[in-house]
Amino acid sequence: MGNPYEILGVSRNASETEIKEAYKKMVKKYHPDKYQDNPLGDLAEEKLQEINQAYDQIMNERQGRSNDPYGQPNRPGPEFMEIRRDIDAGRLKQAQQKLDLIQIKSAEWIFLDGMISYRKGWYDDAAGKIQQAVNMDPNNMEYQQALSRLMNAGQGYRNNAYGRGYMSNQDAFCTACQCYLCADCCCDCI
Amino acid sequence: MFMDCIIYGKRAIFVWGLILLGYVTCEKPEMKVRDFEIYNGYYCGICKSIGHRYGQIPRMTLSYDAAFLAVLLAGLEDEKDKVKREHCIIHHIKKKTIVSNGAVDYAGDVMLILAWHKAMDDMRDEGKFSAKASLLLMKKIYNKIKGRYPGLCQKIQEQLKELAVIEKEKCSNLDMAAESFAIIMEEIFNGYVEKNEREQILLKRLGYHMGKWIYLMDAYDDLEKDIENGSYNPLVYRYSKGEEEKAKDFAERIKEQCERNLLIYCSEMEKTIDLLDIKKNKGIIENIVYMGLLRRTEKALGKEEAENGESV
Repeated sequence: MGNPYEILGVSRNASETEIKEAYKKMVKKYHPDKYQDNPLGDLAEEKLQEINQAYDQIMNERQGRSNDPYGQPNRPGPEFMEIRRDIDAGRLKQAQQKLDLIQIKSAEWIFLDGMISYRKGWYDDAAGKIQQAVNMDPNNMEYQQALSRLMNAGQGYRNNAYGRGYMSNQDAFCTACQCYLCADCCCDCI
Repeated sequence: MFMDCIIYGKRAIFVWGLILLGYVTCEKPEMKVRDFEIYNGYYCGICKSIGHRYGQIPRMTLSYDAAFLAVLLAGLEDEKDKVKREHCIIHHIKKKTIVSNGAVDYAGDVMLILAWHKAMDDMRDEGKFSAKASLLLMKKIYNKIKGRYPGLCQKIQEQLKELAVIEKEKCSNLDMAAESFAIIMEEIFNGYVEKNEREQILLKRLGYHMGKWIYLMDAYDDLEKDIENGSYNPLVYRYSKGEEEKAKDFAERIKEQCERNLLIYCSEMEKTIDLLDIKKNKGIIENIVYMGLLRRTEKALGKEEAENGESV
């Protein structure tokens, strides 16, 4: 493992609160929720592990502490279990083949078909299929959650951009300053 | 005259022209002056690199999308960039910062592959003499590049054929329509040098989603024009435009869905950038992916006047 301070992006003499801040930010960035059903999930998890280790190491070095467990969600499912496992492991072709062998297009079938599309990066296609699964089985929480996750998948990106200063030059305060400056110029003229 | 002539689809080649035009731009107000200088240095570097190796004529085909490709690929390598200050044909009074490295050369080559396909299409379409003359020269250059990146050139050609087929069939599945173009971008991002598996996965994914983003951006941008000309536009079929429905109303009706898709692509690109081990040019890359793409997306959707995020 590399230098834990570098991993967290803080200097060696950063204060404890600074380190905690940096750690929290990193965890948020690579949080499993953000990567649920995303093929990059494993890579994000690796990264998160590295961050956790780095944080633990620093904290242990400084005084000795450990923390942070993550819960793993469990999923039920009948004869589609194997297909689900394939999808989770990224074996999309096999999953699609097995799915195509099943004649009855139940809500679960359509849902998994949609999840394969999602994994492929076919989000528009996936949204249509998962919506259909929700319509067929409106009480299924998993379908609903998947749908709402997909519908809101891009929102995080926009929020992050604003957090990083996007449009910050156009906020109300700035406009107020500009008005003030303009008014000030006028005063000069007079 | 040309053995490997492909019958292109109209839209295929139009999208093609787009990589040459540049959708991927930076968010200038939020970029550091130093970063901006280097970013431009990559742009000028690609131009110079093409000029050095292939002569003056093909230099005209360059965009900031190519600069992003070079900035990113170079950013993954440890080696320091060679930076010079030089004069150039277009800016002959003021000296310009020029960056040169392997990634810059690669981005130049990719641009020329694209230019070659575009030129072939122009010739087939109009049969202009000038087009034919420059094509002879382009063919020489293209063959050289093909020798260097046979796999990449092959795949691009295959996918262009696919794209033409899909267009002819008037495909109504947006993802299927965009797939070939996305794969081309995936190959371009992954085609530079041998990488470890982790980096390959990430670069391919970045390219794929950037391809989808550009494709949809272009489809939405051109919607009204395409409807007027009766050209194929996947959105018309995907969202079943009514016969009586006006182009403007239709664009308004599907805006939200398009935005949702575009932002998902952006979000995925953001994730790959977060996971890539970027050693150089981090400020530039993050500026473009975190904000430049959003600015361009919002501009296309008509959310703002966007005099800010323009390319230079």
